[in-house]
Amino acid sequence: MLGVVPNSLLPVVVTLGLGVIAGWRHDEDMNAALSLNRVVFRYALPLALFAGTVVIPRTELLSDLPLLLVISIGTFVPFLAA
Amino acid sequence: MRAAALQAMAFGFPAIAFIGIPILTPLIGAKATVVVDVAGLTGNLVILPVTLVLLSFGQTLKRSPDAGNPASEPAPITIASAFGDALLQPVVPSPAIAILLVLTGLPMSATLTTSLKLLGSTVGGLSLFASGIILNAQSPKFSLPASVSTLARLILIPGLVDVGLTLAGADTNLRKMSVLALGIPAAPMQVILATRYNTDESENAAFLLYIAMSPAFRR
Repeated sequence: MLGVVPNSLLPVVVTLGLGVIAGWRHDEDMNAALSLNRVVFRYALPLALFAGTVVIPRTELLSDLPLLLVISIGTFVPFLAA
Repeated sequence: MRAAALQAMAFGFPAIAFIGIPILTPLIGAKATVVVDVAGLTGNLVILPVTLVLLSFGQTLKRSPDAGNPASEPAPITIASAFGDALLQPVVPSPAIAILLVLTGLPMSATLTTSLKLLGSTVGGLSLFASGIILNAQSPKFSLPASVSTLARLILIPGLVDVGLTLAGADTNLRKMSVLALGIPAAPMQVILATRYNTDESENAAFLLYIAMSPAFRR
């Protein structure tokens, strides 16, 4: 259990850190970051969302309505409050 | 308006689509995929479109010559175009179309899904790497709004949901999955949007830095 958090979050810190190093070494600049973000936003993320959602079985999607409701409230209420 | 939209997104949009599976699977098993899908759908079908509309609207107001005049009302066509701009972003219709396909029961080729996943699987790595470059370029400093957002995202929101569900008598499984899903750190999405709409890049980079560093101290 103790290993779960470092195992799952270390990749986040390492990838973020590599980006910082790339910027610090002037290997990449803000234009590169903007270009990468454009690729993520216009291509990679829509594909990930579509491919991840379309494989969920219909019964599973419908049986998790209480969870959907709780998570919707838990994300939308703070969004509105802010 | 654009800064407020991004701050609100930081409160409401967990990075569950980016890092949900590796964190939740060891904790709740195969059910993690469903939690990630459900939380991802909420964020991408509700929070993201609303944020995009607010950002587009804020940008349109900034471009408008009457933007500095509080007496001037934005023309209806401006609001409509802001909605149109936001809803036409591929990230909004793609999960909605996928849900319709699931609900209608139309078969989807596994080969096609795998082909789409090849580029789709780069989301987490590319966005975090780009955020690192932005973090270096913006030199984030201490920011009170970023600190408040971090505490709210990691502790306050999941805590309140847990208390609410306990009072409502919800079963342990629902409480566990909801709290874990809502306790996931915020997404790098607001850094992407901050650079895309030229709003508070430094503050959002600071928020991402706090979030990235915080797991070491919170459990």
